[in-house]
Amino acid sequence: MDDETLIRRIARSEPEALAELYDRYGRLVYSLALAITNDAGLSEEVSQDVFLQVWRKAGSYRPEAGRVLTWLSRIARNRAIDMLRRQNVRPEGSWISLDGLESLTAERAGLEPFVLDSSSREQVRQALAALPPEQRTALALAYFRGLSQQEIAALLHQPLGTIKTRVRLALHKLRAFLAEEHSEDRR
Amino acid sequence: MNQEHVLDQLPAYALDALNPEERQGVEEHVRACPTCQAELTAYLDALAALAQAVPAVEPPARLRQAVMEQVRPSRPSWPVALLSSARLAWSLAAVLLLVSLALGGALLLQSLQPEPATFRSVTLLGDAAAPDARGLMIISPDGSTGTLVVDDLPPLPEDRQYQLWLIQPDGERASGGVFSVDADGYGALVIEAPRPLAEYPRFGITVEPAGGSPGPTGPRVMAGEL
Repeated sequence: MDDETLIRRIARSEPEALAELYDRYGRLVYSLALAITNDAGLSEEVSQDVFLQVWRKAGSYRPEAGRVLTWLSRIARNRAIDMLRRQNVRPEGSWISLDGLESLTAERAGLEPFVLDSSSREQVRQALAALPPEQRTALALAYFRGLSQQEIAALLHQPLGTIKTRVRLALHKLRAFLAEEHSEDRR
Repeated sequence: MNQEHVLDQLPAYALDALNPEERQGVEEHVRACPTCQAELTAYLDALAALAQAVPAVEPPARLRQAVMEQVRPSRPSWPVALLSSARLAWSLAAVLLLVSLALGGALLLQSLQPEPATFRSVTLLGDAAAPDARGLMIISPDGSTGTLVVDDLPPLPEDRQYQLWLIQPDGERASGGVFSVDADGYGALVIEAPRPLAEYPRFGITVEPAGGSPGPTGPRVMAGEL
C-alpha cells in the first residue's frame, strides 16, 4: 500500500493505518527529532506529538503539495524546533555544523537506513559535503536550529544579504544535486 | 498583491527562515501562483531528503505503544502535553478540579475530588497584574510530583513565558518549569521540582523571557500557599 493510501485511511480514523505509518517512518521522525534536540526524552515526546498531529490532520494532507514523506518530515522538524525553543535547549553536536558526516556514516553503519537506501543517503551527504562550508552552516542553522536569516546573520556577524545568498544557494544546490542524481538513476 | 515571482525567497520560506512580513508576502504570492508552488514543493522535497540523511537511531520500543495509545478509539484525544502516558491521570484530575473551580462551588469541588482524597491542592490567585487569573496545583499523595493548571492568565508575546517558582521556607526559589497559555488564558504544566513539592510552602508565577530564568526577574502575576 502506498503512503497516500495510508494517509487516506488514517483520515478515516483507522488505527492500523497509523501503526503502519509508524512502522515506516517512526524511526525517521525519532532520528530527526534527535538530530535537532539531541535529547532522547524530548525526541520521544516530539514523535508522539507528530503522529498525533498526523492522526488529527490527515484529512488536510494534499498530495499536490508534496509527498507524504515531505509532509511528515516537515511536521517533525517544526515540532522538534518548537520543543527546542520551549525548553530553551542549546544542543551540542556535530549536526549543527553538518561536519563529520563521514564519521557519522561509519559509526552508524550497522543500522539499516529507514527510508533512503544507503546509496541515496550517501548522495545527500555528498551533496552536503560539496557545499562550501559557509553555505552548509547557514543551511544547518536554519534547518536544525530553526534560526531565521536575521538570527543567523546576527550570530555569525555577517550582513543579512550575505546570509540570504548563502541560504538560497545552499538549498538550491542541494535540490539541483538531488534532481541530477535522480535523473541519472533513471537512465 | 505583489505579482512578481518570489523565486529567490522560496528556499528561505521552505526553511521557515523569513521574518514575518517577508513570510506573509511569499505566502500570499505562492497561494495564487502555480509556478512558485511547484518550485516550493521541489525545495521542500530537498529538505525531506536532508531529514532522511540524519543518522538513523532506533527509537525505544515503548514509543510505538505510546503513539498508538494516543489514538485508541475508546479514549478522547487529549493534548499530548497533558498526555504523556502516566501523567494522564494527573492531568485529568487537574482539569476536573479546574472545571469545578470555574463553576464556583466549593461543594462541587469536594464532590469531584479524586478518591482517595490524599491529593493535596493549592489554589493560586492572580495579583494586580492578572486579577482574573485562577490556578490550581495538584500534588501527589507522596508530595513528589504535581500538575498546575491556570485559567485567565493574559497571553504573552512569543519571547515571554510564565515560570512557576517553588519557594522554600528560607525564601530560596527553585524553578518548577515554564509554560505558555492559549488565547483563552488556559495553560497547564507538569511540575518538575528539584525536591518533593510538599517541601515548598509557597508558590509564585512570574513573567520571564521564553525558556525561563535561573531566578525570578519579571513581575509576579500569581501566588499561592500550601
